[in-house]
Amino acid sequence: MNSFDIELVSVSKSFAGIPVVQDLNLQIPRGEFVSILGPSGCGKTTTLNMIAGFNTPSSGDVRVRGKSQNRIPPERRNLGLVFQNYALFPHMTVAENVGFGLRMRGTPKAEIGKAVDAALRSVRLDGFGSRYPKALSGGQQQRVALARAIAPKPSVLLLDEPLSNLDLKLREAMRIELKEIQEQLDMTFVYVTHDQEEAMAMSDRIVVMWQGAIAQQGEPASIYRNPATRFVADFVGRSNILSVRRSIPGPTFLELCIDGTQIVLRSDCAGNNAVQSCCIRPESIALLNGSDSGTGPQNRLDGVVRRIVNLGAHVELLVEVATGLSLMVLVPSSRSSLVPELASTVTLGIDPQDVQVLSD
Amino acid sequence: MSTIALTAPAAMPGAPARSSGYLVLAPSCLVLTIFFALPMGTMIGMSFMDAQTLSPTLLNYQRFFSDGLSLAGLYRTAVMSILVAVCVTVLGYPVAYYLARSRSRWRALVFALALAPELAGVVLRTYGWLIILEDRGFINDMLINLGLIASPLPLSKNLFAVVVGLTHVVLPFGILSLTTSIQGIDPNLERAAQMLGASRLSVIRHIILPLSVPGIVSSLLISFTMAASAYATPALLGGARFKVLATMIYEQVLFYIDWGFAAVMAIALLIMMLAISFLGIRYETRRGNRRSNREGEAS
Repeated sequence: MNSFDIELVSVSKSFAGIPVVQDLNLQIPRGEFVSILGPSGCGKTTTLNMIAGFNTPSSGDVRVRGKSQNRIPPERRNLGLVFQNYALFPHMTVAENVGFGLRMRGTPKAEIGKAVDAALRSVRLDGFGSRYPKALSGGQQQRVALARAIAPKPSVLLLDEPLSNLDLKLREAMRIELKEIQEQLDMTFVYVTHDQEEAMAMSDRIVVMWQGAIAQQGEPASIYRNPATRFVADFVGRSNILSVRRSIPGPTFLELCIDGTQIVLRSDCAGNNAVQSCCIRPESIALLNGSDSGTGPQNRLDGVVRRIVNLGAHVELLVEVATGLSLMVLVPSSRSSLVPELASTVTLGIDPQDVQVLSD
Repeated sequence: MSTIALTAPAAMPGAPARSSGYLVLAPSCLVLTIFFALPMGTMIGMSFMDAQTLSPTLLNYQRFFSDGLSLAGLYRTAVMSILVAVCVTVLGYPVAYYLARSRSRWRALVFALALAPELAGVVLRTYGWLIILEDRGFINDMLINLGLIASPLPLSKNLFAVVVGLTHVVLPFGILSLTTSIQGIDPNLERAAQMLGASRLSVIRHIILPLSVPGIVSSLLISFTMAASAYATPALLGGARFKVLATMIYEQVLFYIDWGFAAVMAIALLIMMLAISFLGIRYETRRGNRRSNREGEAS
């Protein structure tokens, strides 16, 4: 027996001849919180439906704990699923909803009652058992949906954008709670979302999908710091993506000539002369004082502030460093004394390790 | 038809003079008055009138309750209508479920087939059944020729024939009201139940059936009232041996020219249909109230 709860082995799916998922290989280890992140239409929901059993792969194999699931219907896969719209049974009380899975498995009544209480306690809804879903708020309904899915103790819990119907504050609180519940239960969670912040906040691992394939997978921090492709850099977080005309490998660094300008940036990335683009996160660009020199970042660019946008916690500057090339720079609001005036000239410093080479 | 609005919407604050609302209703009120209320009044008036002398009398009502034939007719009508309502709803449910849920390209075809009977007239369809069910009809002929039976089975001129014919006539309406109701159930509820280990059968039993009760009630009500008021099908397939109120009323008007007695029978039929509709609607509202009451208690 291997330690993967879910394995997708070169899974493809097309609808009416149109490929939606192409040759997907994915292994999800036991007990991990894995997010499948991507824009709508990237195939993430289809992938989830193939794991759940609502879609059959056109080719390839879906395995749960090493066992091929291709011929097993959803009701016998022993997986849990939490829906975006909760999908609570409106004609049943909260307790009946949560106990439904156990009832279908033929669990004795007394045990169902205990399991329901335990599940409701774990989502902090004890005492709500006799209510009907309609009498609950959106956040409470989503907790009931979660309790219902975990009550039969499935081997894996699938979550299909479960927080996107909630308002921002609640969503942020639920992120932390979901992660805590997952850790308490030590259950494998597969979380589908288009919200990169959500994925960042909860996941042990993020799988970024694009056009039916995996664009990149890894720990949240490494995906953010080292996006592999132009798409990932653009989709996950904010970034300045620059086209590279020519790249010259040096002894310890790479020199990138930015397209259409005289700018040359140094990057710590290994690379060759086929580099097409690079990415710089806006918060990694420093505003330098004129006197600051020598020991600071190796890339220094002079530019003119063209736009200032106050984002609350941060101030976003748009600095034109060359004709037709502006860089987005994020400055924490707490250091507002550093924020220059509109149309003033500033010097930007970029550490070579923050210049990330992308493949297309 | 799945939900019947019983309460008028609350008047909008600051809405322009209420009279403009009534103005909009005026045309339909006028039409209803001329074509519904007036004939109804005339009929009620006639029921209290002696056919010959035109003097007021209660004799028509007395006769309805005492001659035995009339009450038997009412009973036959009720039994027939209940059977049709049950048959339509039971037969229509699987079709409605398919129509509500299927995304296959056959769906359009099934939908057309389900409703196609409505394109042929009632009389035409009933004659079709007569040809099949008669003593010298298709089924009896075949069975006799095969030597399975010696004399024809009693397939026509009875309750069985009328229920078969009416079920066919009413089925599309039952299917439509059931389909609407099932379509209103979130498909994710079925998927959620499946993920929780429910088999196809359990999903239907625990999720779809309970949630489509409003559709079932309206299908039963529509079928019952349509069957009870049908004339052509019972006349052709029931004949002289199986008479229901509709055919008896026709007889009174055309053969006995006793409009007063016919009016009493028509009123009896009407009251029966109103009573059944009232029961159905009350059941639905009570169910709704019960649920919201329980919710109210909890919160």
